[in-house]
Amino acid sequence: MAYEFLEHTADVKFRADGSTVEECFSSAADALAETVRGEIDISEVEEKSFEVEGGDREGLLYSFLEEFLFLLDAEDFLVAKIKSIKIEDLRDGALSDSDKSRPKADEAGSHPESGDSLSRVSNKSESVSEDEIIQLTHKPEVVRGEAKELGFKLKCVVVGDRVENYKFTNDVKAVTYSDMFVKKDGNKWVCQVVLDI
Amino acid sequence: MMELKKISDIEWEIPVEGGHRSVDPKTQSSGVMNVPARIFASEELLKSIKGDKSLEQVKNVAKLPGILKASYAMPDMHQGYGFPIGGVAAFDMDSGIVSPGGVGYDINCGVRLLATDLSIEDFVAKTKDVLHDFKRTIPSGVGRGHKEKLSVEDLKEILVEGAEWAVKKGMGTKEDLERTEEGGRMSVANPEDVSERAVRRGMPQSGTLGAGNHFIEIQKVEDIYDEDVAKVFGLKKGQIVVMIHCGSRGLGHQVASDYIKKLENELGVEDLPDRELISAPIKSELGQKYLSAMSCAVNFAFCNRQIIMNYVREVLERHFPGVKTSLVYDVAHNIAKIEKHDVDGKMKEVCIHRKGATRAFGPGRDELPSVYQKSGQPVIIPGSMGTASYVLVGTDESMKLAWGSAAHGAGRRMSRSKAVRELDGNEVKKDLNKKGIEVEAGSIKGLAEEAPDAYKDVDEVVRVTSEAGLARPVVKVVPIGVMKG
Repeated sequence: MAYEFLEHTADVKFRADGSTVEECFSSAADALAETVRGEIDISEVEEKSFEVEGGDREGLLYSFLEEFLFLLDAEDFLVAKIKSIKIEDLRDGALSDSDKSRPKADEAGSHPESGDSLSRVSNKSESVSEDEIIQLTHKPEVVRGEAKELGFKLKCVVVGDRVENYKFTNDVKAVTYSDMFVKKDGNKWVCQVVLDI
Repeated sequence: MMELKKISDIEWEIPVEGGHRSVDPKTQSSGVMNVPARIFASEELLKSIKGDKSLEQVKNVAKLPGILKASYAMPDMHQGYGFPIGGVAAFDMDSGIVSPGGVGYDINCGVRLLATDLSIEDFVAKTKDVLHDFKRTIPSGVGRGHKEKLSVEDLKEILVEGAEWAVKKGMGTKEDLERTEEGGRMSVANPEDVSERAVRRGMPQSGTLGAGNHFIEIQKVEDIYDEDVAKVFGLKKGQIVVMIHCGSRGLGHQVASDYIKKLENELGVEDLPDRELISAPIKSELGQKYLSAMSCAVNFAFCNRQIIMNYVREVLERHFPGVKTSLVYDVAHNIAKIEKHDVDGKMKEVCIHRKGATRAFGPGRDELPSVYQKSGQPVIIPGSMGTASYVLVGTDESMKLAWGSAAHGAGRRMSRSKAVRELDGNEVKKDLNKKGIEVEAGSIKGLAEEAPDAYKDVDEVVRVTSEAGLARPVVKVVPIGVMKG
């Protein structure tokens, strides 16, 4: 599990990897954490759990990392460590043949991931009609729970501490899609993210 | 290599490419440029512009449906996401789009300048005390919101009323509002279009400075280039002014993220040259909802700067009882809005995106307060920490060049990680102190990240802005005290 920071004129760019998508996402969260708090150690005082969803792996990673910014801003909570992370494929029977060649789920409890890329809601599941999709995306408060028809669900448990117990100044404004990818490279999963600072 | 045609020493064009134009029915994107790209830059500035993806990005914007005239880039342009920073584009109201990537994550990040009746001689001995008091009084940094959080009701009022809310609560004057872009309040702002998550991120952050490149700077007026206009702006040599730079904080960031996701879910991302260029037709339901939510974030930012300015006034009053202050102007740097412009000889409404660019309206525009009707609007261009900043004025010519827009700052040229690697924050502080600039910073690392060497030369950006006719310099100010988040 690892991450490295890359050059970017204005913002912060990093690449992270892991032997499963979960590990890869965990590494990405570590890179985000380092950007936010620098070298400071955060105590493991309180536990929180959350769920996010995404139409494809990039969308899922975006929402996953964004959750850490939300916890910081809205709940004054700094994450010290990810306790568990589990990604679920929401497309019934949608696993492709390429899945068979992928590594087994690790002890983190990961669910096998589909190897093909999904980028359109409309490609996903036959059980959801175009009309339903439009209707869902038009609801005002759908950002979090809109994803019944989407591709992936991620459940995560984190431990950390209240932000007021620490002093740091690196304000990450947002996760971006700029140059983002999540892909399988040999027997590793690799992702790349640019954070808006 | 893409073609970059020289128009003049300070203007360049990426011409429209030839090729087949099959328009994708869903995204309305033809995959080729609909208009040329125009870049206002000197050879010197182009060197760093060519070092990243900004030219590719300004070209991608030219591919968007309904774009009018050209995809413009200001002299301080650098790589953004979707649109470049320093990107300006206008879209036809019927065939055009609105894009969260054309505004950015820090919606209505902007700057205001407060003039005082204090002179450098009156002030200089107290610089350190005042700066320290700013740091104590104004919440800044990460996770440092108000001790008393606003209620959801208060926050929703702010989303609708903008800076008016702060004035209503006694934190400012009517004159402040007149001297704020849009009067400090965008009208089509419905909090129903803002997610609960965005509201929750915003609640603790109202009236906070944040961190990163946001700052409060005590400056003195160093040079006057246009005496008459400087007088109209209420500025004279040796005078102390205070510049405030901040935006919509987590609320604006969340609005941007939310709508990028919503648009993706509705439209898909397969055919986009860049996922951050996702957009909706201006008059579509989602396009209208984004404009409304964005306006809420814009209002939140106007209100933030108003509240922070009120703190600044309180601190100044503590140290200089009876001090008189007046807001010169407040300008937005990241915004989309409907404005009337000359399109092929006819005045018509268009949807302007300014991402890292300042509105620079010339004389006679309805949007300007009566005091600036004859002069044109103040255009505030902050330099990097410790370097000069400028106040320019919008001109008739700027209206014709890039939809009445100008540069917004120095623009980075060095990555944060490289700055931290190569520059020592303590040295940066020493250098600033040597130049007579006091510093209150949240962290030493932050000082390295924001060091003057990490930015382009603001003097060159302003020179090109002026020579291109985008705006005309009025005064130069230099810092004597900097507070970073």
